[in-house]
Amino acid sequence: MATLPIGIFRVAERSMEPSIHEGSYVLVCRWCRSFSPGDVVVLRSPEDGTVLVKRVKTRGKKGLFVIGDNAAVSRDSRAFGEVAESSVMGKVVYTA
Amino acid sequence: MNAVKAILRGLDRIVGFPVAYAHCDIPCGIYDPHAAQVAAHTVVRMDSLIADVVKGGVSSAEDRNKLVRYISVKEQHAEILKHEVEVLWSDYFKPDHLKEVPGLHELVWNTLKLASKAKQSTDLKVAEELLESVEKVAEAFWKTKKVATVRVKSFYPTERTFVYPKA
Repeated sequence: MATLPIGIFRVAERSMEPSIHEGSYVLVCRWCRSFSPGDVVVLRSPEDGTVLVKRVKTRGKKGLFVIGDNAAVSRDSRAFGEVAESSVMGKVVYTA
Repeated sequence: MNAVKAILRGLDRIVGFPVAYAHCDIPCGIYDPHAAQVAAHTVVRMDSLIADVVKGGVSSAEDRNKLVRYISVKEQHAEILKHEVEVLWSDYFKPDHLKEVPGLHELVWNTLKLASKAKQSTDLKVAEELLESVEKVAEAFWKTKKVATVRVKSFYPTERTFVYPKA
């Protein structure tokens, strides 16, 4: 599936509530490589390689600063810092 | 549930989409097999100390006091070990990790059983088996982190070995 332009992921856990509920599905555009603040992206955690879904807050020097919408329960760039764009797998274009 | 989601859910049951974690905090992220290994070394050490004091005949109140303290510490540290390994198992390890460490469930199960056995016994061999098993858990942990490990002689009176990540 890595070569397809669109990937589908099931979202586990609640750190993107209320915009993405636990158990939702996200369609990810793998060819969408320009990221702006406000975009929701799927990325590999720099900590352990887990696939994460987060929202881009700002662009920094080293990459993107990503944060969960439900910030109180989210582990994100506040913990692991900016993430390189190369570890971002794509942009979420549709949520169901 | 809308129609798209119903379709996706149906497909998911068939093909199994990958999971993206929104990643809840507390206590995500802080995991280490170090504490479990320290506990295993403590159990080994206590069995040696118990053997020493028993060899002397346990003739005085002082000796009895020592014996009871060693057993008590062995009991506590076997319990710490179980807790530490259980946390790695339930919280850290993810289904994906099973591909890298296919025997993970069996390994954890054996380790926990050995910890119980080490409580029941004062046999040094059982404690050594426990240590070996915990070291395998440590190696499995670091493998899933893509970090190479090294087994070095421990810096404790127990000597034997300890698994460290290769810095």
